[in-house]
Amino acid sequence: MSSLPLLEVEDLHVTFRTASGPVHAVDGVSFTMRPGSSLGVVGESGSGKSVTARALLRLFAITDDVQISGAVRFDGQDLLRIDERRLRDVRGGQIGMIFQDPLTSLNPLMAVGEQIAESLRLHRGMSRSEAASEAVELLARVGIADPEQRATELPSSFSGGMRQRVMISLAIACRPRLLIADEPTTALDVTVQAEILLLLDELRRSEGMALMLITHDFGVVAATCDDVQVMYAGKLVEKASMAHLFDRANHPYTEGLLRLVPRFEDAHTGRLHPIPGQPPITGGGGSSCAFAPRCSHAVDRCRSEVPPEIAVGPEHVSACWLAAERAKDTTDAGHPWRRTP
Amino acid sequence: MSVAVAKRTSSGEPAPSTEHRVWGRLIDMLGSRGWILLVLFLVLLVAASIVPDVFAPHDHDTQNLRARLLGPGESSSEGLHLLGTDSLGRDLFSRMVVGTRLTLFIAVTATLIGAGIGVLFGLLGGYFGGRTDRLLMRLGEAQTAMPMFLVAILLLSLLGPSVGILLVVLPCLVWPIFARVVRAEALRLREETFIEASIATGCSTSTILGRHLLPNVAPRILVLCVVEIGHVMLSEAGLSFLGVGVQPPDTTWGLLISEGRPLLAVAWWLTILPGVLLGISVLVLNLLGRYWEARSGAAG
Amino acid sequence: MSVLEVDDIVVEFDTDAGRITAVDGVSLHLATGETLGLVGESGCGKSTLARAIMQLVPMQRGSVRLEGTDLGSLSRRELRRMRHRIQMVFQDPRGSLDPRMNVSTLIGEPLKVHSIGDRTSRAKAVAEAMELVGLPAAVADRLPSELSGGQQQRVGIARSIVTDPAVLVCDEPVSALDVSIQAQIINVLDELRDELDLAMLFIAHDLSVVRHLSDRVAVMYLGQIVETGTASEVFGEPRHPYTHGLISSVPRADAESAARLQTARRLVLGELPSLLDPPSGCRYRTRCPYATAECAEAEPAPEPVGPADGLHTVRCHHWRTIVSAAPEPQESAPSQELAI
Repeated sequence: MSSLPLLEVEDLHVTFRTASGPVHAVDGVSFTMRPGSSLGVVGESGSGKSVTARALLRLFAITDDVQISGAVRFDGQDLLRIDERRLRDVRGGQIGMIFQDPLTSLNPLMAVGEQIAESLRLHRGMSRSEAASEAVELLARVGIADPEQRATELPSSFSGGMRQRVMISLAIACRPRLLIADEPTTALDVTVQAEILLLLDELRRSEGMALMLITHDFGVVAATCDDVQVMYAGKLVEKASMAHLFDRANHPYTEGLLRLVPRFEDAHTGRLHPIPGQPPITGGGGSSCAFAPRCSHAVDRCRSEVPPEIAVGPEHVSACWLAAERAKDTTDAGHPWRRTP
Repeated sequence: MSVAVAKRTSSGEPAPSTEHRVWGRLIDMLGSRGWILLVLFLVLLVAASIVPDVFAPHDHDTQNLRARLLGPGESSSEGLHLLGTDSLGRDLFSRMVVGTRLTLFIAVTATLIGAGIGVLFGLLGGYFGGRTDRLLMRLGEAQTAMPMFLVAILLLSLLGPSVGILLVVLPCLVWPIFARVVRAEALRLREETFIEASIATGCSTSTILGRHLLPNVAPRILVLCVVEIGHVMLSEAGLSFLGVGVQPPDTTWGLLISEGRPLLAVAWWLTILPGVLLGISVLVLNLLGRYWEARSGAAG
Repeated sequence: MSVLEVDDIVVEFDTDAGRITAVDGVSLHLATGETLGLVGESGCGKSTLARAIMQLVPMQRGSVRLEGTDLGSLSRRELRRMRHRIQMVFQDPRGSLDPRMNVSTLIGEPLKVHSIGDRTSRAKAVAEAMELVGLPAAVADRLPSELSGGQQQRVGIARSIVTDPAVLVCDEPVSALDVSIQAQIINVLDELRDELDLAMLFIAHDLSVVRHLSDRVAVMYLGQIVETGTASEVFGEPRHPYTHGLISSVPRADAESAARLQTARRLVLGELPSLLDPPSGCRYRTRCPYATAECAEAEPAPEPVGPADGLHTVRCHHWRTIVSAAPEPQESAPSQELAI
């Protein structure tokens, strides 16, 4: 691609030191995002997908004993190496972030309009009155009816879906170039989820911002993202375009995730196929494929060497020793995951 | 404030009060093994109350008019008086050792009685809510609002001081504290799904109160007991000091302090040393209680 | 024969803001070995309905018959004795277990409470229940906090089946679990139902899971059932605009996903109205794109779809005309602007 990348993550490692030893939550993750692109990051809880997002902005609790290495180049500057002050400008400024539970991210004692206005004054240097009217406009833009009135209300008087809209308006207040959404719809009803996903998609197009969506639900990714990457035990195990992935998911873990949940289109089709075992609690950092113990295809090599990222198609890589073989199978005999109706 | 910063501060705890900070710092000072010292101190107290003769160098009641008001460390014909003697020449250390038994007995018994009443009322009020709760809590409030110390003095002076009446009066001082804590816990637990699950399973009310609620509040009750024993000790000392508590020839630390008071100018040790022992005991009980609480809080 | 017959239940609550009707005249029935899925948005009253059926919240009207016995007519003691025939699995696997009891005590408690068997037979029943739900014997002495979320929910399920109930009410049993664990728990429930011939009321907001497990489905909206029928009827040919909207909202992992969401937005406008002030007439009219004056005046009654004796009923004045008007969208979404 000709355009310069907006975000370039290179060999990101995040290690938590805990009482029971180090946890390699993110274990050598590299990826890039172009301006205005959309990327879904999928994995089970504990896969490192949320930690990756938080590491970009160094968003960890003060009590976490955490070590980050690698490089996160955003718009030319390495976010891991700039000081806390400049990082604060980036947070909520050029990079907006929304979380699963909007209630904990909003100040419960401050009217939502004020909270948005505060961010505008801080990051965009607006005057008090300018910021107040812009806040109302932002609330309107995320689909909140009667924005003048609602701007004066406290977060507690908003429903879950409306609160997430408030969070989004707060996150886009400073016209970020990248919006990171960490499980933004997991706590919401499907109908509300549908609206939030559409809103995110529309905002991405109208504001020209890039969207990084972290989720465990491939359906959510399908609705909003062009590209997808699957994480397991702190590593990226597969990267592909969304359309490509559904046709020919390569990594056995991706395949497992896709087969895991009942698909709405299917009526009862017998038992589900849970992935046996559990993800390693210490994250990555081993000298074998971390998925090998749960993988029904694993061969000896999987247990002794870490698989590299192997290209299996245009912009499609899979970190599996059997990637090439599996790529051939899926193109030859249709997709293993696509059950015949 | 940016989104990110808001998220970050939300994970923080609310700022603790000064009192909590002081306790927190004291507990920090104890480190991971300091509690052994505290327990050791309590073990000594309990041992002294069970077998005082082992600890007391002299008979606590033998008067020796030749050895009156000896200062700490001075000796008489009987030998060394580690903490001095009183106006009748009785060995202070021995008297303190012997006084331990009644001091502890009154404090522990009164606390347990108070805890029993408070836990029962708290569980019932918290679990049933509504009118039961309002009635029980008003009762507690009324009692807290009354100057119980004055009532106690009135009662004791009307009926004549006795250990028995202390065991009626002192529990009245502590039960509302237990009731409040247990009620708050019961209110919280009542909303937990496992209580609803027990009802759905078919548990009776007594099963729910006894087998589900009580075991879950038990750790808090234990901690509170330890702390309250110290407070009851203080109250008992106060009553004895005012002359309406324990009467001679029985003795408690509080009574010793009271007996020494007229002589404070000439024999400070008679008041100060039992006072210090009382102070240390209350502190140790408080520290131990709070230490446990901090520990179990972190683990749960 | 139905093991569970729920007839015209009404549940009202007093809140700070006023009285609300959380469940408004719901009737349903369950046969042995059958699973009824109950879906709807949060706040639609599905959890309250489950609790009313379990007799955990008082009903203002209606009856719950379990194996022919009207639960509402029983004394408290008699009701307690009946409870082993109808058991519940809760959403929060950890919260629904007493944190101070170990696994075997937790699973054995219902037996003890109902004085079923003696000590040895109870121990055997507990071991059997643990095996049925796939709990290793080694966890018998552990506390709930020492188990994973999936194991905790297995304990919850074991507890609910150990008394050999006729009816199992599952209130969002997998929604608090990680995806990979969800599949395991769904399989456990699926197997148990077949093995123990349970009648199951399965409440969930995840339509895919409901479709996977259910024989029949009921769609709930603001305290009422707006559409019910077999799973294939309701999900395959939804007649109520709300059902259609719900189904379109489900994000599916395919290429038409985004377009389907547009349909969903067209069919489900805005937010759930407040129960304090429910709309007159049809409850759904404030969010329905097909609403007319008639919808505001008269409350639609459940009407049979297809054969009059069929199971498929819908509560909508216009279902006959809407069917043709709302096909599955093929073309891409018409408008890209935001609903404000």
